[in-house]
Amino acid sequence: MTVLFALPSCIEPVPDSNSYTVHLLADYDEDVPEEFKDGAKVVFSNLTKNYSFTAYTSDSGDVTFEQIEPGFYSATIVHSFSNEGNVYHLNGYGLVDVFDTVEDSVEVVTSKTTAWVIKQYYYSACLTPAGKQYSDDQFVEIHNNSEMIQYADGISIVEHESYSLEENYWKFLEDSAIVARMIMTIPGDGDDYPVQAGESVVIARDGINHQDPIYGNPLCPVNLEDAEFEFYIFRETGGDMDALGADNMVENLFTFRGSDVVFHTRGGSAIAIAMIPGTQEEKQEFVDNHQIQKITSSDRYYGIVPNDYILDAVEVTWDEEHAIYKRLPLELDAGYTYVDAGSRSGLCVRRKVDTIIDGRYIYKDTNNSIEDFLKDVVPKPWINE
Amino acid sequence: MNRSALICTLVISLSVHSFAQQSDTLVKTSQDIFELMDILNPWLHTENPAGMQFNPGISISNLSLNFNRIDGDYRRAMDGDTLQKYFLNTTSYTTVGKTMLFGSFSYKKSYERNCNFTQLNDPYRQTPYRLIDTMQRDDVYDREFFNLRGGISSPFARNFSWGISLNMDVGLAAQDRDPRPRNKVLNMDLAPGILFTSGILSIGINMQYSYYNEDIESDVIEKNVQHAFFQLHGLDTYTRHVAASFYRLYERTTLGGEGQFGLNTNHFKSIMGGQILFVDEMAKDGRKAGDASWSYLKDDSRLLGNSYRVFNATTFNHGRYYHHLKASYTSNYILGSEIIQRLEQVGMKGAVNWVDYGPEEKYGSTQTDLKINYTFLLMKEKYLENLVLRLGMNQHSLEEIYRLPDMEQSFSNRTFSTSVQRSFYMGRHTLAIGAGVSTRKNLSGTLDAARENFLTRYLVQPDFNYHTSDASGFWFDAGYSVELNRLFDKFYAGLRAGAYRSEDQKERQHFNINTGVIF
Repeated sequence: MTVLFALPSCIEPVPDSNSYTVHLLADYDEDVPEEFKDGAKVVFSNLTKNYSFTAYTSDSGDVTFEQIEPGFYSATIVHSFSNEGNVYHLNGYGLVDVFDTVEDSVEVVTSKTTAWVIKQYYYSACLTPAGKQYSDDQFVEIHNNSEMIQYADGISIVEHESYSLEENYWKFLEDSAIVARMIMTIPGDGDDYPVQAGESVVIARDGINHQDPIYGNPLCPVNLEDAEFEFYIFRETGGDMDALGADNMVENLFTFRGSDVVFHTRGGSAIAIAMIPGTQEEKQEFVDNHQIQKITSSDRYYGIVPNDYILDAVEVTWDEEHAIYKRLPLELDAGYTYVDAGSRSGLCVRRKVDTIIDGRYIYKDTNNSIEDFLKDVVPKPWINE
Repeated sequence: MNRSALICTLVISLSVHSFAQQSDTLVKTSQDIFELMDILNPWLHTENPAGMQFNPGISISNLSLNFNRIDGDYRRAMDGDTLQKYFLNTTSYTTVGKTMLFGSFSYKKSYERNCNFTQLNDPYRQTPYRLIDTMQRDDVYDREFFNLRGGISSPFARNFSWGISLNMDVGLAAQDRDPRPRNKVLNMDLAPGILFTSGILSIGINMQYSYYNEDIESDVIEKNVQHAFFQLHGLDTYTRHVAASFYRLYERTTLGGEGQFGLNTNHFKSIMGGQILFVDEMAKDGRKAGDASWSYLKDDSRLLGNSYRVFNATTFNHGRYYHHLKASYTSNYILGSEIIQRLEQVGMKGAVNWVDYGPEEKYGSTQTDLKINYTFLLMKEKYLENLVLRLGMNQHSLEEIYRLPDMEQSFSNRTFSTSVQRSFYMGRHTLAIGAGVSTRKNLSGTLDAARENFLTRYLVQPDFNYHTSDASGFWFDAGYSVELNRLFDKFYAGLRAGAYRSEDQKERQHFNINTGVIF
């Protein structure tokens, strides 16, 4: 009997788990001075289990993470510094598979910031009292993040071609351009739509009071009857509402032309704002002359928008797992964001406030949506908070 | 309950009784005979069905209805506030020549209210890989289970007997609030065995095979709404998906065997033995979006385990006095592995699937149980109890570890219990009353969680507090039976009520009422 009590287990109930060291080097541009390479924030995230580690680079720009369990990770690098009166934002992003000790580098690019930012992006839609989806209330809010008056004339809203369900088909172009399925431009000839410093304009799918119980949805979180602009698609058979209070966007490109502009409610629509040079006619000519097809599709044309024309961009994905299908290049958005509560939640993503100067809100813009955006917030157009 | 099932139950019960070759209408028995059986035949403590050869040579059947209610706040995190169970049971021991037969059929219907988080039929089923949601919406878990057990034992050569037993549980459980799971549960146990008897010595051996399957389909009925489903991996680790539906399949196979050695005389019966079991369980997930034609299927985790058990059961009787001592020591070891995988595009056509990159051992647990029970019986007649006194001690411990992040939990408790029951015989009528107390003392407890998250707050810490709190309880029971002259031998009814209270003044009350007939 004593021998039986002493029998060891065939299964050793102490897990023989593996852990590894990950050593990453921030691969900066040549232009970044040596004295500014340390102190970059590196966030090392497990893509499956929703946890992350944060560390800062050393003088030589490297960082080490110990005791990392095997799996799939992303490394996000965010750094800012001031030099000779200019502020520089650096971003890096890379995927790291950990199944052994890792020695890897993450490309870090210098990204520019402009006066305009996408402040709020509401795409998830909401529910009606009958439990049906209501997505007419989608909108994009762009904000004058500078200290001077700016003019919204000619700013284009660009929707990326891919829904991030697969590898970016246009990866071969990412150093120079993004590919769009929709390009719609704010009308005007240069000084028709002034926007004060710290103010915003809203481009609505439909510029109406969506909380109206007859024409809208009483459960909708937003009233967009004061929207400055709306996406209006004219069709002989009708379908889209033309709100009289909102000026219609100019339709430059709409590859899958439906009855209205509809952003993917689950988070497939990554968007950007761009300034294509020239008059409205010249912008249209540019779009007409810069189109591309997929090999797999002979009758669809998509627009090519150079990265240099992009003012701001938001890489919106479905969820953490789909982040591996990121579409936008690092210099436009080194990270990603999403509405965690999912589609029909009535929630949106909104940029974080960086600072407030004399009542003027300046939103965070490091060109990294992981750092810059709040998830799952109630949409509040024109409200600064 | 389905009316046809009820009719079948009655027909089966009456048929088993009518086929018995030995009529025991002259043998006085009570409903307690079913508890007495394993005192009269300690082989019934083993998993070897051939041991039924030592059953007393009586044929007796029981048909009973039971109602059970448990409520109170002294509970684990995923237990309901209230549990109500109704069950119908019929059990029969029958002797046909030298062949011993046993059969039992049960139908159970239960309602467990306010069991939050769990999407599993039994969230404490010894697996860290559980599926939960975070919607605390006063859910009711509606369960309907059927159980069928049977065994047969017969000699087949000089000194040799064989036996085989089968146990099958099938049932359906469902919740009534989004995200609402439907759990289809199947458990099957099969044990063939043989027994060698020579004089007072007996040696037995049997194999054991079990298959458990739980198929969970969880849906969100509310249109266009999604919920977060959390796949737990041990202590406070998890992964999650937001979806309008979720699917999980548990498949567990258990294989092992047991060996027994017994002594059997007129006044002394003793059996000792050892059991080894090996367990292998997989949890597989699939997620089907509401209107999409694709589904993402993946392996979530794997459990490997083995369990050892050594035991002894001894009965000594002298005239009307019986002394029964039962002791067992069980140790369970479990190793859990998570499957490392990633969503990847497969092929050129854009199909997306989870691709496995291999298992990683992350979780381990050791659970031990030492039980010692003594029963003293003073019999009025051969199968009629006069006085029953029970003493028991149980020492239970659990140790869990998780690696990266490093976490561990352990505790050890010792429980003492005692009860007494006295029967009063008044002609054809019998009255029995009893009472009991138990006390649990926590010997040790350690919880070292890596981080404070909602799992730690709502599940890990509350369950740890439950398992490491001292508690005591009492119960009393009363029963009545009357001999019948027609169709059935005896009618009985009884009730039991009691309560447990922990050191932090939480309580759990239980109430049971039963009635039935012996024939």
